[in-house]
This record gives sequence, C-alpha cells and structure tokens, in this order.
Amino acid sequence: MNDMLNDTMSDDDVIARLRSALDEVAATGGPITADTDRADADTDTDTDTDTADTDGPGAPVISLRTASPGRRPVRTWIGLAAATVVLMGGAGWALSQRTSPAATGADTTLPVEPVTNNSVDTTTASTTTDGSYPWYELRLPDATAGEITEVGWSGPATDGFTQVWSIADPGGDSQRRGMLSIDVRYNQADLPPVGPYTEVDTAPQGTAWLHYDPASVLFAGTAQLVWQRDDGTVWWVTSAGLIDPSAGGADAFAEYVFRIEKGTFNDLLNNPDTQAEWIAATPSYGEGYSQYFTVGETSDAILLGVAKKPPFDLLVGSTDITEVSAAGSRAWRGTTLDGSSLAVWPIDGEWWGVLNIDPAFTDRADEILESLEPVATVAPPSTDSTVLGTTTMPADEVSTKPADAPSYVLDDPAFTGEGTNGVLDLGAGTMPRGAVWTVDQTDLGAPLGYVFGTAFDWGGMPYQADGVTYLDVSRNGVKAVLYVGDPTTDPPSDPTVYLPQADGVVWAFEGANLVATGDDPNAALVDLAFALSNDAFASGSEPAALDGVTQFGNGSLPSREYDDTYTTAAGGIITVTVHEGFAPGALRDATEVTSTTVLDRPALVGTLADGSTQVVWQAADGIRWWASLTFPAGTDPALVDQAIAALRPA
Amino acid sequence: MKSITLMPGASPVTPPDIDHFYRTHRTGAVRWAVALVGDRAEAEELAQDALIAVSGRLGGLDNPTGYLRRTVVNRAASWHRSHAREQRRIHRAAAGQPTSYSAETHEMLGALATLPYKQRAAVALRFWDDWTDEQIAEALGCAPASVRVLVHRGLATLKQEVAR
Repeated sequence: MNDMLNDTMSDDDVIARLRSALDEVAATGGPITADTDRADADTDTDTDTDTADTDGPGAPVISLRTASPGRRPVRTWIGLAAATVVLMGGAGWALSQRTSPAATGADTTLPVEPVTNNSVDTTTASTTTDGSYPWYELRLPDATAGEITEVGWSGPATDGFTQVWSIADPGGDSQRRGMLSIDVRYNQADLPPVGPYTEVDTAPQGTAWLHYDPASVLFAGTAQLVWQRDDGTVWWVTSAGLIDPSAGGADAFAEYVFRIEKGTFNDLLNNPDTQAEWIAATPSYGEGYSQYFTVGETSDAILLGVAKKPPFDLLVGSTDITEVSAAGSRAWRGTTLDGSSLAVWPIDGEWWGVLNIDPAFTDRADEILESLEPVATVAPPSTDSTVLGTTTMPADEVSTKPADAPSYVLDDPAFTGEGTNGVLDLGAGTMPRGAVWTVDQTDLGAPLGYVFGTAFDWGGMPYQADGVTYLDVSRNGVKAVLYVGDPTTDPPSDPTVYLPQADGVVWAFEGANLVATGDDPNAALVDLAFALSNDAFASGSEPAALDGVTQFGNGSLPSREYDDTYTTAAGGIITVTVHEGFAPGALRDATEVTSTTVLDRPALVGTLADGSTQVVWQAADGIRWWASLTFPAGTDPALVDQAIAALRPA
Repeated sequence: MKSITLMPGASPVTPPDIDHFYRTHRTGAVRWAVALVGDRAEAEELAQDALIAVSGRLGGLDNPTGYLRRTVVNRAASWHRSHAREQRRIHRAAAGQPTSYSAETHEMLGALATLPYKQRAAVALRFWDDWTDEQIAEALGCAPASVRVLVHRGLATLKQEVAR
C-alpha cells in the first residue's frame, strides 16, 4: 500500500509539502527580524572546524565476477580484468549478473568462490546502512539503457582496504597520470602468489614477489608486486600507467613501493613521493551495480557501474591515463588493452563509479562522460529477493549495528527503557587514533588531570598565529609546537603540544586540568607530551611508564554511535551509547573528571560544559568499542551511581 | 578536534561592521537553521550563536557569508548530536511554548527527522531556501556531485516516509 502511495507522489509534491511545513515552522512566533539588541552581546571566536574526509580501513577486498555471455566489447574488457584476477590472486574486478551466476563465461578459472544467492558471506558483506547506492543517468540521445543489475562478488580476503594514489608526471609527461592501488590484507594465506612471480631480494622487510613482463600482451606497462610484511599484512600493489616498459622499470617500481610505509597509528599508508596525490583509502565491502547501454545498433557499447571497490586495477595496461571530470567528480581515464576507454572516479568516499566505452565509440568519450548525471538512488534490483530482502532493506537503522557490538541494558525498575534512537553516523574525521591518560595530582592537592592524545596522518601543524609558540626542541628535524590555548572561546580551548613524527604523522597532546608546578603554566603538559610520545599509545597495550600517569585507553577513528534511551521516574533522560571508535572526546571540555569502574572496567566521569554528566569506558578489548552513559544537567550523583550499578551486558 | 585547525588571528573589526553583518544576515541564518532543525525557537538560538561567532572574526574571512552558512550547518549538526537538546525540548513543551503545527507539518518534520543529517541539510536548503549545489557542498564539506546524490536520496526517503 505504501509503495502504491509512494508511486503516486511526485518529487514536486514532496517538495511542496516540505516548503509548506518549513514555512509554517518559520512563521511560528512571527516574522524573522534582526534582533540588534543581541548583536553586540558577544564577539567570541568560532571553533567550527573543517572535516576533511579520510577514509579508514574497512572490510573485505572484493572480486566482482563475470558478465553474462554475448557481450563482446565489454566481455573483452572483462576478460582482461579476469586475467588480472588470475594473476592477482583474486583481487581484481570482473562483473557478474546475479541472475545468471552459472553463465560466467570467461572467468571460470577465477580462483574465487562462486557467488550463490544464499551465501551468508555475500549477504553480510553486502549490507548497507540504508540499502541505497549512488547512481547516474547517461543522457545520451542515441543510448538505450538496459536493466540495472546487482553485481555479485566474492574474494579471498576477509578484511582489508584499498588505498589509491594518483601520481603526476610519470615519465616526464605532465598531462599523464599514473595510478597506484594497494590492497592491504590482514589475513592473507596461500603465499607465494600463484603465477609468474619472481621473488625480489631487495625487500627491506618480509618477502616480496614481482611480476613484470614487458612482452606481455596484457601487462606491458604494468607490474604487480605482492609484499608480505613483517607485521603480518600483505600488500597487493597494482600500478597503472607508471612503469616504463624498459629494462629496470619494474625494479624501479619495486623500489618505489618499498619506500611506502604504514602509518604510525593505523594501517593507512604514507607515500613519500611528493608527486603522489593521495586519493582515497576505501573500505571495500563488495557491493556493486552495473548497467549496459546500447548505442545505435551496437549493444553493450557502454557499461556504467558503481561499486565499493576502487576499480583502478581495471586500468592495468593503460599508458595514457589522464585526469578528467565525470558527473562533477575528479575522474581518471585511460585506454584499456582492448582499446576501450575506461573512466573511474570516487563518488562519496565509499562508492566508486566506472564507465567503460567500447572502442567503436571512444571518439565520443568526452561527450559520453559529460552526459553523466547523478540521479536518485535507484531501488535495488528485484532479481534476487533472497539476498536483497536481507541485505538492502533493513527494517530500521538498528539492524545495521554490527553483531559484535557490545550492548547494554539498565536493569533496574527505576529506569524505563524507551528504545533506541538509531544510528548516528559521525562521518569520517581526520583522527586515526586517540588516547587518554589520567594524571594523579593528589600530591599537589588537585583533582585528576588528563591528557588527550590524537594522531593525524596527513595532519597539518598549526602555523604561526596568536597563541602558537615553536618550542626549543625538535623531533625528526621539525620543531614541536605549543599552542597555549584560548581562554576566550566557549568552552575555552586547551593548551596543546604538537609533535611531528618522521613519517609525516602529527601527534597532538591536549592537556586539561593540569596543575602548574612552576612559572610556566604549560611546562607540565610539554613534559608529559614528550614523555608520552615515547609511549606507543597506538598499541593500546603499553601503559605510559610515568609516575602517576595512567593510560585510560585508546581508540580508533570515531565512526558511529548507537543510542538507547531510558527515563527515570523524575522524567530525566539517560542515554546509553555504544561508540564505534574513540569516545572520550567530549570530556575534553569537562570541568571535572573523576575515576570510577563500570562492569569491572576503568571509567571516567565528567561534568560537561552544559552541566550534563557523562560516564565513559572502553567497552571491549581492542580499540573499536567504547560506551558511555549520559545524564542531564542537575542529575543527582546518587542516580549516576545507581545507573552504573544497574548496567548489564545485553 | 578544535585546536588542530587553528586560524590566524582575525583582524580587528568595528562594532558597525558587526552590526551591519548581523542585520544583513540574521534573517537568512534563522531560515537556514529552521530548515536544519525544524524548530523556530531552536533555530533562533542557533543562528544567534553562529552570527556572533562569525561576527567576531569578520576581519579574517574572505567569504563571511559562506563561512556563516558553514557555521550554521555545523552547529545544527552539533545540535542534532547533542543529548542536551532533548532536555530543552522537554522543558519547552512543559512550559507550554508553542510547538503545535498542522498535521501535515508534523508529518513532514517527522519525515525529515528520519533523514541522515547531510541528506536533510541538502534537501531542506535546496528546496526551501534555494541554496545552490555549490553552496550546500561548501557548507557540508563535500563535492557538488555528492550534494546531488544527497538530494536525490533524501527526496526518495521523504517520499517513502510521507507515504508511510
């Protein structure tokens, strides 16, 4: 019934109702006028921050499988990709129509698990938060669209992510771009890789295997390197448009890759090449959709697709990659080995777009690219109700909470459960790792002090401005910086010490409630920052070896929160929040922090600037899960204790 | 992490500068906030805070209006995240302040509340206050192409919710 209603309602109807509703809200209380009496009430400075996207490591590397038969131009392209898959141990792309898993044609040799409609792995990995995906229309007068089809996937890796760089000026050609794509896998077995790989004896650690054959039809201009590192990760490195097909080119490529290092606080990678522009580190969940277009009399002339997998391995063999625009996004286009023109582009930090144009139409590539328009999310294909019913139409947002997430209940009649508030998606910030240390200041007659440590890959040092001082010490040739804070902001910003590291990471240590012991009010923070920077807080297992200093915990990139609400007899609201990622950030602005215990885990209790009380603890071992209880301003401390005592794992 | 993105010290601004900026932008700021939080009283407070914050650094901004847009959008996002807003809503309702809208408006506000924040912002600012893709993108910190996707997704969800 709802669907029927939905079908009868146009966008214009919805927009009209939206306008009417907001008009009514805005009109409540009379016309909006400039309240000049309040204009000069305060002139404090804003603390809003930019939030550049940095995608964290994610889930499985995928392999998108095979096309239905009879699609000659695209299938040729798929065949190339499939060959890549063979050589890359199943890391590459090939497209599949889910409705015909048996009609796999050229990819029968792929070393991947077959796609089955009832596959648990497929179902789990295909789950999205809202069942939607970005899509495009190809507004080309002579193109006829086929059906949108969900792309099947499977892959040998169980977790990992893919990081991509665009590299300017390969071979001295300022117009060209090279692409470097590294699949980082955490649980890679079955090494050495199957295929014509040669072990490289110059690897600075672990073991590396290289494939490069300048005479290869498929891989001239392309090399693949597989590097099993000492930390247990395996990097599958694919280049496109980078290798000079001459003697020594591949060796130079290997040496290039060996200079790339893992980030200090996470598994993201730092490429020291100043010509390499970091494009994305994308979780790879494996979901994808595709659509073929007939142009004139030519069927399957164009393939349009989106997927959660950086598709740069499709560009292997391309030597003419240039940067173009696709539907308003930066895109990279090259000529594949069958002569097709292939463009790929990141859409929103999670999804990637792919457009492949048959060789017969490459002279219209610009026109075709320009005809791409983003459109509304399309309904999931209905060809596989078993999978889609489970994976793309969750009953509500709560179902997206991971199965391994901690859950809690307040087991006390004093608290009435009101249910969940759903998922709060925090997006992706720039902080890959955070940690908190508490500082015992009993000897100084002061309450607990604390230091918040954060680590930023690609983070910038603060530049010269009011309140910024370069310290007379340096790390790795770069002077450390002390920002003394700004007491005029609301809440006041705390003093922070920034310590640049050798690999470009910046560590920031923000102090709060630290008691000055001498003339310099920030001396204690500076001393702590340098001492703590010798402590591997990324590991979460090495407590700071400082008297009175305790590492409360650390966490990964904050990403999502899951709230459950309870009310008390007095009408107060208590929120139980499970945080996916680092949670104690709010305590930075707390006026007072004390220690307690929640379910036998150390916890911090803080009174926040708005008067509310927050209790924070690390909800599980590792760095992923945190939890908190939040109480409204004015809550009796006895009620806080009562709630803590009532907390049970669900 | 507020202190990681330090801005250079703002140039001094005069009270007339602030007054002019405030008078010029208050109506717009409240409208934007209404679109983002769906509550006039909250919107007034939020816009006021944003205006004062931006006024204080006028001398250091190349595009104060764009900065104000972003500030309002950021603060509205914080408002949505804040647990304290629940308290304010309860207190206001208890105090009998006007929150009674027509059934259609209640329904639409409820539908808007189901949207992820970026979708809500994109849809409301586009169709109610006629922001361009570029203005929305600037405020949300994303690409204009992503705005179009957000708008389409948001509209589709609104349609489903209203029909529900």
